[in-house]
Amino acid sequence: MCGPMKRILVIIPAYNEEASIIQTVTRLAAYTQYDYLVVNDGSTDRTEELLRSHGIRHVRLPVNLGIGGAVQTGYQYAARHGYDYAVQLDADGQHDPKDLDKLVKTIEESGADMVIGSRFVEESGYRGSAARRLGIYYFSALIRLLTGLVITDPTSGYRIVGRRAMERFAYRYPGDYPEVEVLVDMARCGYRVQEVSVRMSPRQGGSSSITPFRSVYYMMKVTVFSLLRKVV
Amino acid sequence: MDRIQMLSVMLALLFFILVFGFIKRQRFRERQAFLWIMLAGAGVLTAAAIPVLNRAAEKVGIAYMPTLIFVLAFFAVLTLLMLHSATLSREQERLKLVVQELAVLRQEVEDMRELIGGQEAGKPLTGGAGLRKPAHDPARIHTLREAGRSTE
Repeated sequence: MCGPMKRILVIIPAYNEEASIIQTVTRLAAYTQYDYLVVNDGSTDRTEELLRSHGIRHVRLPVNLGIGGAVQTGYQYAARHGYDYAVQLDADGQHDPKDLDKLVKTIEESGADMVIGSRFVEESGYRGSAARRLGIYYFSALIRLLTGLVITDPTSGYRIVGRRAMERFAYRYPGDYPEVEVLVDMARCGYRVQEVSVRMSPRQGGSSSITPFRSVYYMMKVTVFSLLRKVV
Repeated sequence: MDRIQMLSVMLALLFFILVFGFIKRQRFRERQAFLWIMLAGAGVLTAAAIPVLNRAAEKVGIAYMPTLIFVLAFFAVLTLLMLHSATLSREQERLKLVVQELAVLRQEVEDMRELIGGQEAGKPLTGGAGLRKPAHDPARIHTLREAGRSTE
């Protein structure tokens, strides 16, 4: 490796992830040397117990703040402890830690403010439901319309940010379904966003938070707030 | 002053007294108290000014004067609701920040405990096993420096 080692924090938000959290962290530790921090978002299952018994570095939020609040805690931690980069990694095992180096390398070489791990930059074998792919296509079009940015996988939570974006997120981050809204906000502030191809596997355990009713709320909330972010 | 107007004024005054009682018992914080005092005061004024309102309604083309009062009251209540929503949002945001800060600080405290000798959570930091070593113990100072570096 050339140049000084950059300090990288992997943020793993976990809400009731007893089925997969240990496996996710073990896999991460096996493939990388990066620091990580699990943010236990007020889980009511055995997540906390498992984290403790396995001696996994984590913070426990006393109440459930939702995905946005949990991830933001990680960004605050990273900003406060002087990390150069912060990566978001899902606790359910969908994100492959083998792709981490790729994300780090891309952000270091491009100097972008954020690099998103995308399932669609090249054929990655991703098979989601038709509804999900339609949703992703819709958000992709929305972002393109609002910002001119071409993002193939705007709902991907597998993303790395540099110091500038980290500090902004530490202070301002949406509460629920933050991925798309954040991109519009970043584009408005003139931040640079890039994508790099990653593989995603089906979740290891737990259940997806997206139900038919919620997906309608999701689409509407994200659309309205993306429009708002465009102006405020 | 006819009977209905007297009744209105009395009801409005009653409400004013109720608000005053709440403030006296410190049920509201200053901003909220001020808001309610203003609203109660407006109620009393409205009740007292019924003849004026009658003329005003006629001028703006409202045939049935109480409608004017309803319209005004509706906007007053709507504004109040919006102010409450704004307050609630602000408090939620503050609470979120407090929760996040608390979680990170607790982790840092636990790291420190571990560092000064594997003290268990819930026990006071002073006088425990970790502090038995004198402060000038070079090994301990070294570990503390290391810690300072990794938590900075």
